[in-house]
Amino acid sequence: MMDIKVILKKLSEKRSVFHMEADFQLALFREIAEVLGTSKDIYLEHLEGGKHIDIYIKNENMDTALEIKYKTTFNKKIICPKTNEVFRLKKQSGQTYSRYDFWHDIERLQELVGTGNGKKRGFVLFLTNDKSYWDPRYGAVENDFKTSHGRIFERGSVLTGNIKGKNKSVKIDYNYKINWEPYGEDGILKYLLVAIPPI
Amino acid sequence: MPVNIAEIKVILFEILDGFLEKNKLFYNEGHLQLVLAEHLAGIYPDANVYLEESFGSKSIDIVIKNSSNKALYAIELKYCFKMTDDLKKLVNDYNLKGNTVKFDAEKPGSGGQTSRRYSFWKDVEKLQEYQHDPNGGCSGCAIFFTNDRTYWEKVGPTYASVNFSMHERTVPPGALEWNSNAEHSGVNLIKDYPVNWKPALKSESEFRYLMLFVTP
Repeated sequence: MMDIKVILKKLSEKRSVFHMEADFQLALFREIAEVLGTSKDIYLEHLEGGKHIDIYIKNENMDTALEIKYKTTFNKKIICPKTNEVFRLKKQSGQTYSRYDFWHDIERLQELVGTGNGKKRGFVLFLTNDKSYWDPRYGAVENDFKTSHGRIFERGSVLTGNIKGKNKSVKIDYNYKINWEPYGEDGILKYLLVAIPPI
Repeated sequence: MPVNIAEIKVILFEILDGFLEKNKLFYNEGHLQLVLAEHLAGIYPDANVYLEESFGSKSIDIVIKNSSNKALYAIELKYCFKMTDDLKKLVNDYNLKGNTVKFDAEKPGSGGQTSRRYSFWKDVEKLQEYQHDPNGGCSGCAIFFTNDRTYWEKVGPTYASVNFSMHERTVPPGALEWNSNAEHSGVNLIKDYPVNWKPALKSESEFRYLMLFVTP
């Protein structure tokens, strides 16, 4: 079965940084197609089970739904070692909302996978150069949605918080451990991959 | 297939003609950008296709590069649609199936057309600049895709954006300026641009597209 971490490693050897989320989405799509040897059953912005999925891979044994996030903080010069291209990353604020949105994606995929009769699995992939997402010193201490490295979330718990003036909650259907890993050799970007297993 | 500048124009026409048959409607400009880029990446598997490539403080929607990452072609996109009765039915059909997709239709009376006309000509100017940028240096195309006829109709002479009108004609080189004391700068065109709208052949609604080619 396709291994997302292997695909990310291969992609990082070609491109260690991306301009924006759509740029990352397309590059990942192409890398998956290269590994699978075809793009025939891979879809971008796919509608499945009433949900809009960033990348969806159909397979007779197991479909894979992939939601991605790519958030950047300002960096005026990152050089891709493979291509020597210079990238300039923009400062994206709204970290509080992005953390919630990450969990909201997990909730959506939990719902989708739950309707798959054991034939659907999901992944939420978060790539960033902004340490406020992985470093526990950033973000409000009481924030349920914090994605700090090492946090453990238990099945059945409910995350709540005030997001843009509205009370939001996300129910957790599985046990999750937040484990940020370096993306590429320079370690400027890190990724968080959360798997939602088939049931 | 190697990227051939003459050929890519034909390919872009073919793609835009056929797009709506398969996709029916794009949710928003980002959706069109991604689908178009994927399509081009499929046609040119040896090329690198980048989205939102930055140069200076600006960025280009789609850049096609060769395997050595030399820019070969740049594309700027504008997409907007008006919620017509036939599109409402299409969206209702989506929603009846339990979908939660949000379609970003133009809000009636929002005045977005004025800024979008201006932005389109700014896209053309940006592609002109990208031609002379060390990271760019390639030809490009500005695309406008819409079902809103106000874009292909002539703007009234009293409107502030009259000089940014996108009705059919040849726009000569020179400066396009606001017809008022606008805060925004004008647009400088270094060549003439024939404005010819084409109908998207297989669309359910009356979609048209405009392509302006920025060549050396």
